[in-house]
Amino acid sequence: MEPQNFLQDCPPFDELQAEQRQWAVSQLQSVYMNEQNCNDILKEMRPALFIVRSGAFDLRGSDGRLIERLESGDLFGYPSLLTGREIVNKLKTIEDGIVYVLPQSAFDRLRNASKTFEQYFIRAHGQRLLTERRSEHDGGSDDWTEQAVSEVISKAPVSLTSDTNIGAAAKLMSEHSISSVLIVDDGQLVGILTDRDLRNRVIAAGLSYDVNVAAVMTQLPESVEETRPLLDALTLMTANNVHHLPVVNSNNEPVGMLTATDLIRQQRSEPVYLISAIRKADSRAKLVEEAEKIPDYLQTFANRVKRTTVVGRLMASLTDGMTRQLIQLYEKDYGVAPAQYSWLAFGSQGREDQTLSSDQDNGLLLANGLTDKQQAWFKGLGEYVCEGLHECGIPLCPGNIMASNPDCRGTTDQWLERFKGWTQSPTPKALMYCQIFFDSRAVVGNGKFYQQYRDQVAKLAQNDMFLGNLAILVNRISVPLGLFNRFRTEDTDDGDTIDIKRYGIALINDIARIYSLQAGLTTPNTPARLKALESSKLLNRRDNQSLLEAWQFLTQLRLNHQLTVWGTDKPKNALDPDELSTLSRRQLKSAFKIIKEAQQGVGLKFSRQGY
Amino acid sequence: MGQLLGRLANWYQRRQQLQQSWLKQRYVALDIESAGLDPARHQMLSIAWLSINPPVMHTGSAQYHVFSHGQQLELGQSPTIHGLTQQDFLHSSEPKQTFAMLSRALTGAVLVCHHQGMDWRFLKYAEKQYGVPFKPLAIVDTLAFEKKRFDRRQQILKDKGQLTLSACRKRYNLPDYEAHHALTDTLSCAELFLAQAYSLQEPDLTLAQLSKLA
Repeated sequence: MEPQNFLQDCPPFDELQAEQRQWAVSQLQSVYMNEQNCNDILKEMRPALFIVRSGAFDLRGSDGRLIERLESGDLFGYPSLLTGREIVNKLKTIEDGIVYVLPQSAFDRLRNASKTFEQYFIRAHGQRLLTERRSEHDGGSDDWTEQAVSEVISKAPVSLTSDTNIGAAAKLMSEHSISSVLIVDDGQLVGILTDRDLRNRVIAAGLSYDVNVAAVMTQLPESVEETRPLLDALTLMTANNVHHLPVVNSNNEPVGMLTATDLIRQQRSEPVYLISAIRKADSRAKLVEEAEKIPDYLQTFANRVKRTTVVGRLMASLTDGMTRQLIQLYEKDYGVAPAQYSWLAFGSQGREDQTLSSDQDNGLLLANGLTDKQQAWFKGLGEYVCEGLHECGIPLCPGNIMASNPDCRGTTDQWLERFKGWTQSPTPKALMYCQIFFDSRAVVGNGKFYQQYRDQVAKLAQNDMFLGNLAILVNRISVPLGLFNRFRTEDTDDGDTIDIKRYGIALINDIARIYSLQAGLTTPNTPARLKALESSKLLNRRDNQSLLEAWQFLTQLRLNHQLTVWGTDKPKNALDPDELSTLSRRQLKSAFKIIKEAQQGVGLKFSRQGY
Repeated sequence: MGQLLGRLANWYQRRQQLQQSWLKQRYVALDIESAGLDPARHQMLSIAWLSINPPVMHTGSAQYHVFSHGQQLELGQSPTIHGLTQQDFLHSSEPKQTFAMLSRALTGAVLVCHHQGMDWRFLKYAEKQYGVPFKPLAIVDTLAFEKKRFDRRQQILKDKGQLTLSACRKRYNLPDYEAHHALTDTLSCAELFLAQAYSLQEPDLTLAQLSKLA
């Protein structure tokens, strides 16, 4: 008989004793729920437990994001029963249906009567809170980019020693039908040999097949550790423009090979796809066409991934990809680069925390002693690429930190000279430059050339007076927490808002930068800097972890906000704390508190004047 | 004279209420299971009813009563048809008390039945038998509603099976319930009624207008 039969199979009612269930039935009301009445029902009948008997309803957060599709047997309304909080979620009827309603008094009696019944809701409530948080900030469930590399590589590695001759290597590759092979000496990875190497360096060069592979392999290739998430592998592949990535264990012993095909196989609609579409664009118009898809794509991607920091990295990867493609297009018309150089990404692209609204920050690092003609080639490159990126939707830099600006195209000596000037006489303007230029990364060009230069820059930064000045600068901005721990908002045209970039994310970036400059680190990415600083004596582990969590929370909050206001002219980095959930507001306050303490920390540790 | 005025007042009140939105009314869905179709010859075996204040159905306080009729118990058709067992009759109710309760529930409410003819015939018979008046505000028939819906849409009714409670429910995507148990059928009928009435999508529809459709 209905509704007994139904409840008997509906957890946690199935856990009740027959009489308890019978009693529960006697307390039920049911409603015919449809689009006309669903939200009124929710409003008028709460607090209550709602049990869907038939139909389909979407539970959406106050921001409109889908939390759950409710169908027969699904329960809702219990978080409000357990916490006494108002129901802020809204319903949308997909298909009309019958919903049973158990009032609070009956719910409480059942809770007291049955521990299993109560436990069920407490557990469910816990999970629900997490998903509520997740959908609020980054949504999504299955996220392949979080998968470890080791989960994807299947074949045992095929390897050779470097003294194998080319002919034998080619035969082995053909036998195993693989397009690349690892070269391993004494258990250590020394190189990689690919189809492309055989084509370009052997056949095209007319080399004898008796020569050892050592002569034609790519030496010391980039590799990825097996425990790293796939996104790291993806980033490495795009950054180095390679399709094969050796996988190593923590002892640096090769355990397999990851190919671009492995990644594409994960999911067709995933970033690899967009990145490879960008790489295939053979004209500027095509590239712009692909780039136009990015905002929409990012919206769905952000809804799917757990950690939104990957969104910043993905955006940086896409910008890197566009940059590389533009450089290739330029080379097609004007010939290859006449000298060694690196295309540099600064600021958010450099740090890989780029957003949809981040503008360009880039420059060129050139070999010393260029002729006028060579200089002209790079001038053309800078102008072409910056203009191209602008067409692709990356705004021009208002501060003109772009490779199209002669000041941002420097030889190694010129750049070092500038850094020396900034670090030795840190004027306010110099310090501002430092906050941008120290967060650099080479997007295109010879890795060694850049790294040698970057190491020298790192040495220049290890200057107490300079670091002290940076610490003073960080302390000039006070976090927007006022008396009694209230938010201090700014009265703007868009209401009372807080700029979480300026007063949050940027401050953590600044703080992490100071510690990492002191430690001589050259990585620009804030989480990577913090990770590298884990053993630092200056920044203890707990504070380090807190800073990382605050940074992750704020970047998630910002992304969520940006996706909400995308397409409107609302500010992209400022939000109204009153519009946040209680949980988010609490988290935001604690993030600001962490920043405040960290500011005082760098003040004490670095600034002579003390804070 | 006073009686006449009282009737006039009642008539006026009823007329007023009929002019109000169907959503503002109280309804009583009802189902009777009997041993046959003729109240004079066949016994009423069970009755169930439940109040509705749209969109809420007071499911938990639905009434369900089984009549054993003393020694003259006669199941007629197979007892499985009505979902009744000998066991149920052990908990049988006293008819007069049961009908008095129903009488109070129906006063000022709209009676909702699937195929009202038979149920109403049995109620009228009980009214006489036990001297308990049944004075619903109006009667809404979910079967008639469905039949008229076919007419309105100029669809042709192929066979009578299309008008059974479960066939009607299917058209509104309502769940499958086991039929022919007075309580389940009452619930089925109540849900069907709400589905039908909401499907008109006219919150301002008066009760008078609604009862013309059913």
